[in-house]
Amino acid sequence: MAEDFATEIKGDKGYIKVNSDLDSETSGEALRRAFNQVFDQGKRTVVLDLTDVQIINSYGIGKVLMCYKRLKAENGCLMVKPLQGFVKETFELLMLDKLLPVEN
Amino acid sequence: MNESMATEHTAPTTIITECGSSSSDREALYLNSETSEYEFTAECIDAAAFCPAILERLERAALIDTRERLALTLVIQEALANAIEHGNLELESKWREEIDKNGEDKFSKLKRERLADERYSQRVARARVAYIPGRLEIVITDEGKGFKPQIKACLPKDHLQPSGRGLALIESTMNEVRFEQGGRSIVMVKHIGKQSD
Repeated sequence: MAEDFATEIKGDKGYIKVNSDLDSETSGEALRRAFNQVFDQGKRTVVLDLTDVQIINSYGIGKVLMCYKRLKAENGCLMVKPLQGFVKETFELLMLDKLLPVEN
Repeated sequence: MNESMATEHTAPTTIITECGSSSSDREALYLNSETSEYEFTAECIDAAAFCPAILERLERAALIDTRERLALTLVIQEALANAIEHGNLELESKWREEIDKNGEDKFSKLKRERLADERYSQRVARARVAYIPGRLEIVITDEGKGFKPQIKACLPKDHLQPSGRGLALIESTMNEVRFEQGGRSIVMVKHIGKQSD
């Protein structure tokens, strides 16, 4: 089972460090728990750090979009740390890079 | 889930045959033809994270690079997820958008019910990964009703749609993609090495 992803609050933003591939129900659930943690603390700008992620599949993308929708519904924003490698390619192929701004 | 983890799932996931395993880099340099076959039932919910060892051997042999290994892993994951969810469990993507009064989508609700129903949950998805020099062929077969495949996959017009990306991801990586057996089998071919273009 994927361990919980680390979360951190800095100012008005919540940060989630995703430390496993987002390619299974297990990791998807870990993301959901981490997201709820920062969301329940009132943060409506959430930054995903996917630096350690090598693969994100349709299932993982569905979970990311679920986070996006929950924030969008409350005028919030889901961001990502600068993407790299195959995950960056996947985001570009699916045009998700247009949807999620990068926090530098 | 990598292959070594897959073997632990003896009930839902079975490695039927695995030939040509090369344990050292030296052997991998001389990687010849090999075929591996695997079986998954829907109870193995993390089958989507499966990665066959042949891909690592191809990378060690410098026949593919890391990016290609990841892309091929993603292809297998997407095809397996489709075979299990849409094929064997007969779940339709559009049901993800149908939310009931309790906030649960129809897809998740029916998935839970069908996982508890042996008529669906005991159906098997089979993966066959065959390498011959210059060519990797991946065949994923399910036991569902089949479907009428689209000629060309396309991305969902709505970026927020929670489904509809799997085939586009597959086609972006593979040189050939076709459906057989009335949509119950997807055959995907990647040219490897000098012929990959």
